[in-house]
Amino acid sequence: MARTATSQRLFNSTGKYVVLVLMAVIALYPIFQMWMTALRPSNEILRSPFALPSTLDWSNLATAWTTGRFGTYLINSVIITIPTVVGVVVLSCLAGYGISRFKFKGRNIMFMTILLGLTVPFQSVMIPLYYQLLNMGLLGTYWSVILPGIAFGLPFGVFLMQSFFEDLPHELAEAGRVDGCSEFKIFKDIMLPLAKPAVSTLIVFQFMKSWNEFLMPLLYLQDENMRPIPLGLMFFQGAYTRDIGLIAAGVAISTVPVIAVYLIFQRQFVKGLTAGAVK
Amino acid sequence: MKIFKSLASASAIALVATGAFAQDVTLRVWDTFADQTAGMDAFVAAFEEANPGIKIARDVQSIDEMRPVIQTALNAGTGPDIFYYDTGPAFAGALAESGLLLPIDDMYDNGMLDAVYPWTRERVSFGGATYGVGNEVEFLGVYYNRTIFADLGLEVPTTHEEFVAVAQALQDAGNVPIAFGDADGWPAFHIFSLYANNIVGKEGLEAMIAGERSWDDPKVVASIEPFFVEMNAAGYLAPSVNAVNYDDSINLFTTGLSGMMVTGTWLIQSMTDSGLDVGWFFLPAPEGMDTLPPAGLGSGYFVSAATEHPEEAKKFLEFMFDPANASLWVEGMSVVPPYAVDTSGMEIAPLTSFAMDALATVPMGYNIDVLTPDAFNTAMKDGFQAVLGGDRSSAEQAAALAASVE
Amino acid sequence: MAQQSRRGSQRQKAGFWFVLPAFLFYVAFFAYPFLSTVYLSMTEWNGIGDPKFTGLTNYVRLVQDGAMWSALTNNVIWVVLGTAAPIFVGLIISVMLWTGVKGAGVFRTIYFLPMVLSPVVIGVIWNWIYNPLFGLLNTGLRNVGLGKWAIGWLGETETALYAVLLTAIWTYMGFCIVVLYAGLQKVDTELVDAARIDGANPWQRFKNVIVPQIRPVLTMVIVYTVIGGFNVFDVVWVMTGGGPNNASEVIATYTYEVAFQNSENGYGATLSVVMSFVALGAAYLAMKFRRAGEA
Repeated sequence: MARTATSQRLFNSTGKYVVLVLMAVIALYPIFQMWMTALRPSNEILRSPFALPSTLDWSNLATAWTTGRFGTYLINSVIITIPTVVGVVVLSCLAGYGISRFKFKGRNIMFMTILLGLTVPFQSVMIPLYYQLLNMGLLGTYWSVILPGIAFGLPFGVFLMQSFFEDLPHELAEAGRVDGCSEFKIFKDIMLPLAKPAVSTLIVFQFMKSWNEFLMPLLYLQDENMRPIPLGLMFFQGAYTRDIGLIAAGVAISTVPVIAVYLIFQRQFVKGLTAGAVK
Repeated sequence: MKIFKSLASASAIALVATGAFAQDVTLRVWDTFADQTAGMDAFVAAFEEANPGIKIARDVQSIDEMRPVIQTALNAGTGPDIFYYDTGPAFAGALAESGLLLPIDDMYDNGMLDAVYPWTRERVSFGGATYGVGNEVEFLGVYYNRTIFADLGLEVPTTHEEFVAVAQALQDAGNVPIAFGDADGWPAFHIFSLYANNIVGKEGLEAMIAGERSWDDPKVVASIEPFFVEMNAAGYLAPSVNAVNYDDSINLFTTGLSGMMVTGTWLIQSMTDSGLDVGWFFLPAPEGMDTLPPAGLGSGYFVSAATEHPEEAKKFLEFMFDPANASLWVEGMSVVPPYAVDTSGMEIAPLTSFAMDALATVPMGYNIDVLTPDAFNTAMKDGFQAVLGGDRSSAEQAAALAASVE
Repeated sequence: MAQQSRRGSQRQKAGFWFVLPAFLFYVAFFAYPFLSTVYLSMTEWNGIGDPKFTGLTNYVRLVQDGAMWSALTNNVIWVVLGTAAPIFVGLIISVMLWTGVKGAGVFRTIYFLPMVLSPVVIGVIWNWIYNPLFGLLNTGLRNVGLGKWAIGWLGETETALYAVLLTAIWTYMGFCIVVLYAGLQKVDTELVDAARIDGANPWQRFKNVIVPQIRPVLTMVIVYTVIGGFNVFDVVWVMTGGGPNNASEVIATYTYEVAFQNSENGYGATLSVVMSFVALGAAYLAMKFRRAGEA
């Protein structure tokens, strides 16, 4: 109630909706345009690039799907992304909880070391990591992308979960301790269920990151049949450089899974996003 | 660390499992034929049929990222048995110098590659040994839209002055005279090669490439000025020339918005597929000078020094460059192989047969960028964009090119 | 008492085992290779054969490298504009949402959407928008009679960097809005009303009452845009490759060219090590700003 009272005087109401809708159009229009381009016959596009399709033409999507082998790429992306996301979430929850709730020797050093990773881009370690994966016998396997993918997700994941657990009330865990639960049981049965919003945030962010990863699979997988979607898209673009409709179709296909994941988790996701920053 | 070990052994077991029952030798081949992948697969199928017991596992690699990918793979002792790579000194040359390539002089000596043009062998030889087979013999020149030329009553130009007049006539007719854009940076290399061959001449260029003569030369300035400054200022090139990428410029030409495109023979297939009536002429030299079209190799096939199957790898190379299989290159992929091809009985586009005849009959010069070091090419890429953008004069660019290799 | 505290410290040690798996993973696949990079930064290596140790030569070269400084200048422009602009717009939009609108959740969901797209996809879409031949932007400008403003945005040295930056802001603007909006949820509206009764105008209420209460989320957005601004690579790489004539070159694209296109892996490692610490330092300063604000 108090909020609406405050509000009315800050902004004029119609003007407000105009701005908000305009902003939504700016955010959505390029994505909408990509879909429209994908659904138009290619020969129409160069002549009048921004007209709406005269008829919806699904052939570009179908051609892209089959000739671009997007089915294979999609499966590879899933094989790589799911274990990476699970790994990051599990390890980040454990570590974030450990750092926020316990004071042990080496805690700060471990935390700071992990946080350093927030500012190191992948390119700076991609060659040394290559030799290391080779020595471990992992090069050319899906693990060569999954395991480093997990390591690269940890700085953000640990930071996020740590902030979130720090904000949760301590009393619940104490109650568990009085009941004689083990520390792991307290974590798993009492604290973890409360962390759902932050876990959703982490899932969305990590999914985006792994799904869109480009250089890592290019360098470490080597086998064409193991390549994920972003690489598939790149080679697809290379093969059909001048067919804008077909490229738009490939681009459109590649965006469906990540948009779906975002929409599924978006409610919870926002709550977790500001963990630690909002008190 | 136990988890890594068990993961590693799990993948090792998987490798053994796939290898243990296979009787065949499998050669891993990397190339960059992303847009001609069907033609390449046909090659592989023909080879496998002719050579039972040898299988080819072919992977297409990204042209842009090929260098870090192949260098790292070979240096680490992994990677393919055979690969398709740039023949320049900083590319295959650097690999050869570090002993990562298998010398294949014996193939040339044993007559396995007899048909191959000797000059292409030079380009894949480093430090006295030959390491590969050069392929995709290409040269540079001008595609033109015959229909537009006919409608406007234009003739194919024979001097630079006539070329400018044709551009003017196209512009007067509302056409973008030359579909040229340099957002990618490298299209300018070819323009420079074309003018430098015509104006500096073959001997002069040889000396400059070898580092015996400076690029800071009035003739180099004269090679930069006509296209990058004068024709650009006259509005003959694509508008916002530094923002138009190579694909856009092809679209300009194939949609009929542009009457000419200055580029190389690797576009023959696209030009043929466009359905337009496309002709070709060599970029003419200024009045009183000789026209010398630049030619070069697209790339070459090389064998990794670490291959466990050198004999099979050589067999594959022999097969690929056996003139008996020329139609797989010429008809299947519109690629000009490095030997004289008997085209009788082949169904090939007129432009393709023209290109093969020209290679056998027309004297050709150098495509500069495949012979010069990285620093020089970087100076070309950045510098010609600066000249096109009006931020640098031709003389300043000539001086910058010279400075890059000092 | 003593027994209890021993049990307590015993309990604290359990934390170690929670952190250990993540830490080992991180060290094995990230920290350890990064140490190799630090070593490489003191070598000369073309990516083939063995690196040659050269001590601090690369670091001296870095300080004298004009191309590095001009790329770094572009990063600084990127950090400043790429932080100020989305915070300015983001604050306006999120305050609008916060003051109560129908469908706030829908708006929020839409605003964030561009953030989930991959850089390759964003590059493809925006190259079409900026395309000088058939692009939306120039077509639009011509249609409203501003034809002389229709230029090749990514091809002019004066505009290329800003055109790419605008694309980047389009991508993460929604992130800023969502975070700021979430921060606003915790603002104590009674304080705002009290200020109004005391006669504060809307701007004063915003500046003196609301902003101090959302300082933590503001810091979070700033740390994000600062780190992102120093590390930016993908969007520049796919849209301009740093051109024309290096006008949109940033440190990460420059590093990539040095290391992987010119095969100077040693010097490339030097650039990336230095940049990691520059970004870390900048992020640290931004965090300090938060603490100073809290004190």
